[in-house]
Amino acid sequence: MIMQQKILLVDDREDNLLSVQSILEPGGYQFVKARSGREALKVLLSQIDFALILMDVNMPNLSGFQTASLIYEREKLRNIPIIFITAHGEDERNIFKGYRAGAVDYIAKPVNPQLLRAKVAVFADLYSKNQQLLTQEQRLKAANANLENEIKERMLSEKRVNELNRQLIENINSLESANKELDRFAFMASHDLQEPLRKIRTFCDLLINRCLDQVDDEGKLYISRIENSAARMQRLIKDILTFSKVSDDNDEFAETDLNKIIQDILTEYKHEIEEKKAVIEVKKIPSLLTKQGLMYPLFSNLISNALKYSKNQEPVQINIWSEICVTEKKSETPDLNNKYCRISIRDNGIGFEQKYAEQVFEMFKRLHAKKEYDGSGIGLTLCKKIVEQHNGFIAVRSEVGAGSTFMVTLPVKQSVKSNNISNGKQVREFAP
Amino acid sequence: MQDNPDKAKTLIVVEDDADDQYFLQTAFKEIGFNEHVLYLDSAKQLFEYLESSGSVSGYPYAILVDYNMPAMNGEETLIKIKENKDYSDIQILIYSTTISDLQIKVLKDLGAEGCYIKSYSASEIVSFAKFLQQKIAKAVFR
Repeated sequence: MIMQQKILLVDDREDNLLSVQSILEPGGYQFVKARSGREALKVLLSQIDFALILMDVNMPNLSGFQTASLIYEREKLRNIPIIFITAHGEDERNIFKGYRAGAVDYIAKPVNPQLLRAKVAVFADLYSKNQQLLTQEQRLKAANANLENEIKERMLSEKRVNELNRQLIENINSLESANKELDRFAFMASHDLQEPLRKIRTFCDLLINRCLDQVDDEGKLYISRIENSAARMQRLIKDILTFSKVSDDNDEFAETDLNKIIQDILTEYKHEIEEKKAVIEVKKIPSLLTKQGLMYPLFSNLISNALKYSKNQEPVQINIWSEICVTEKKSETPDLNNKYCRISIRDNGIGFEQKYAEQVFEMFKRLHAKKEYDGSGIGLTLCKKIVEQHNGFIAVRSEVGAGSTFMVTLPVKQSVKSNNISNGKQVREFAP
Repeated sequence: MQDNPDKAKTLIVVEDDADDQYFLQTAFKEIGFNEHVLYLDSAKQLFEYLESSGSVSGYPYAILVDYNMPAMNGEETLIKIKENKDYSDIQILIYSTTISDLQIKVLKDLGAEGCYIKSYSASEIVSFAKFLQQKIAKAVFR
């Protein structure tokens, strides 16, 4: 929709006003009329959105030129063009030049309607173009303001992200220190718990060795129950102690012969292996960089589990083998550590439902009653912790009645800053 | 041992825990060696003994020191004994409920003759008592 353009007509004579209005009427303008310079100034106090002012020069009191001078004194009105209607032609034109030069034009009396229409149309067109430019400028200014706001917001959100990042790092640090604290507590607690426990066991022993003839059968049963519980508790404490030591362990990575470690473990379990008539097949495992001290508890737990969770009827068959695999890393940085060695330990034991595959690595998670299969519920948690200390991972595939296969995947090489890997990764992912 | 009356006691046990003293006592009684053993409750008592009666009736051949003791622990006791040249012939043995490899290395460097972990079974304590008896016998009849 095109806005109706406003024109201010100033003339002391009503008939002149009417004739100009009738000439311009077809242009579709809106007219505001003033009968004197003073009245024109009054109108302009409240309305300033005129495309043009048509002003008679010859007016009593304030002449057209004087009125124009007063109009142009006001900053806001300076852009409104004025067409003077003169009676004396060229002579008068030069008078106003003394006042001001600008968007000013002249038309002589008697007014030629066609010329008047043409002149007014030019100014009206100029005005509408001006208005368009103004709206465009406003739009641009608004867009600019939006953009500035957006930038501000973006800076704010970046700040927020940075703050979150900082908090995250702080949280990681406090978690780590809490973890260390906990490990220290576990170490101290289990250390202190061992002493009274040792006494319970020793006194039990003395009771059995020295006083058993004074105890009836029921009493003997109680004593053996005490002994069993104390022995179990001792195993538990020992496992917690080992567990708490794992993170404490500042062992350096060293070239490790896992074949020898596994042979040592098999020697330790010689008695159980013979008892269960177990056949254990071990294929050669390549040498890896590991924290050597942690490899024995890792494989000892896995092998003893394979022996323990066996079926009664069948001879136990355990296979241990390894394969080298390469994993596709998501990171763009070239990483030489994507070569992994996967060591599998497969048994033909009772197995479990695959849905427990994650849970078995949780602390104190046990799938079987103590009466059936004894254990502290720490062994596999310890395994997981050890493997993670090597930047590796552990998983299990299992089926009820068919047995389990535990897979330990360790990097063939270790990056220098192995301890900081997990931290760095998280920080990078949250960077803006 | 009987042909060595000069030595009031050949072994001193420094142990703050009454139960642990009792376990050792029972074991030494069982192997008939208890009369050669003196039981003390703290390092303080040990140094009082060594300074007074020890210098009169002679020093023991060996001292078995519990590692975890209040006031002065086994390691501090060991260091203080080794500072005194008069005691340089006494064998110092440390025992504890738990003891790490690193601790053992430190204690041996400080001059401990041996480090032992307290046993969980009565029969093992008897074996330990016998082991101590033989160790001392070797030293006495050297």
